[in-house]
Amino acid sequence: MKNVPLIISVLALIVAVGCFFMLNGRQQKIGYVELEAVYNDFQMKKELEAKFQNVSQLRQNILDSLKIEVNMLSSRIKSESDKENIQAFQLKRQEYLMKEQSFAQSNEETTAQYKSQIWKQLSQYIKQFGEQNKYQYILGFDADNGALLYGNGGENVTDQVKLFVNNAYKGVGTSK
Amino acid sequence: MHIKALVHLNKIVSLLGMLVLVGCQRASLSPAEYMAWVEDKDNGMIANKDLDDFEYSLLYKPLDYVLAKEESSGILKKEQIEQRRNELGAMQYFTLKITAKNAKELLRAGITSEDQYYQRLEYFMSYMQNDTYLIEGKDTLPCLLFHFERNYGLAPYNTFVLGYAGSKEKQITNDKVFVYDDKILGTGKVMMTVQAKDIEKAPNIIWN
Repeated sequence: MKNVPLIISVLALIVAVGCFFMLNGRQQKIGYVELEAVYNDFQMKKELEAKFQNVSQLRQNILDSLKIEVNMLSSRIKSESDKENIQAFQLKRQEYLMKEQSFAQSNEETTAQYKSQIWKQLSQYIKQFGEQNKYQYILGFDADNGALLYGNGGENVTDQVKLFVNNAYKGVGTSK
Repeated sequence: MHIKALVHLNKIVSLLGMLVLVGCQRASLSPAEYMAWVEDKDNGMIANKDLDDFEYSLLYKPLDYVLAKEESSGILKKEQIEQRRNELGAMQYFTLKITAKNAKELLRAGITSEDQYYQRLEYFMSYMQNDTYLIEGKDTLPCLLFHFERNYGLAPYNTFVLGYAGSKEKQITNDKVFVYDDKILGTGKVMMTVQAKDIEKAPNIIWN
């Protein structure tokens, strides 16, 4: 009987510690963002996309001009013995094919380079957003690859993240 | 009774007005204190950007800061300050510091061949100037003064002294948006802003 108060105290302590950890666990701040929306609204992505389209269009113009020249030279060939025109046509066609291949390769490299630059900055800014707003986790929702299918434990912070990343890109609020 | 109350009210209003005026007045600091104020991160003259393996830090150097630095290092005598102010006044000055976070030397951070080292060195020395500009209000200002400070691998960072043309909008203080369109480190376009509200808070300097 003498031990009853002690047992009650120990039990109370256990319950208190349990409650503390339970509440502490509940306080974890979790948010999620719609990745595609954040990516598409990111100013840097828009700028690089426009830049790429300009370059790509210029390259296409060069290819179009070459193609016209190739077609013209092709129409000049009268017979199989017209060696001079055949040679000119073959040279121009070779030039066209080489340019086409070189542009395609360069376009691919540029796309990869731009994507890498965009994600480097974007992920850094999202990290800063998480740190500044004391998030334990920020999950990425992507409809295409289904990385996150459902969650009711977090809040959708897409709009806040969009605003934050675009300000961070402009360098506003990065002082201090 | 009413007149007395009005007199008191008048005094209180005058006192409040004086307090507001004193509160709005810029502080006046000695050159050493002024330099410390500019270099204090909390005062907004320094903008930072942390990107992947590199950290960018931009220091906006108001003209008084440049003069104070020259004066404190003995390059400039007090009586030459106004003349020097006129010489330097047409431009605005910044120092950019780029630090490699995971390497001992910026020029070697993340490279895979010796060729890349020399490409990077050449870029910093000769071409980077064309990839940086300053946006101020509606003006896009070119970089007119550029100096890459080599340290021969003694530190994981390099500094760049930059001077941009002055803005045409002399009467208005605008945000100063520094732009560096990186072509060599893989970070892409880097923008950092020194805000007008912070520049307006800058104290005055007392030379005597």
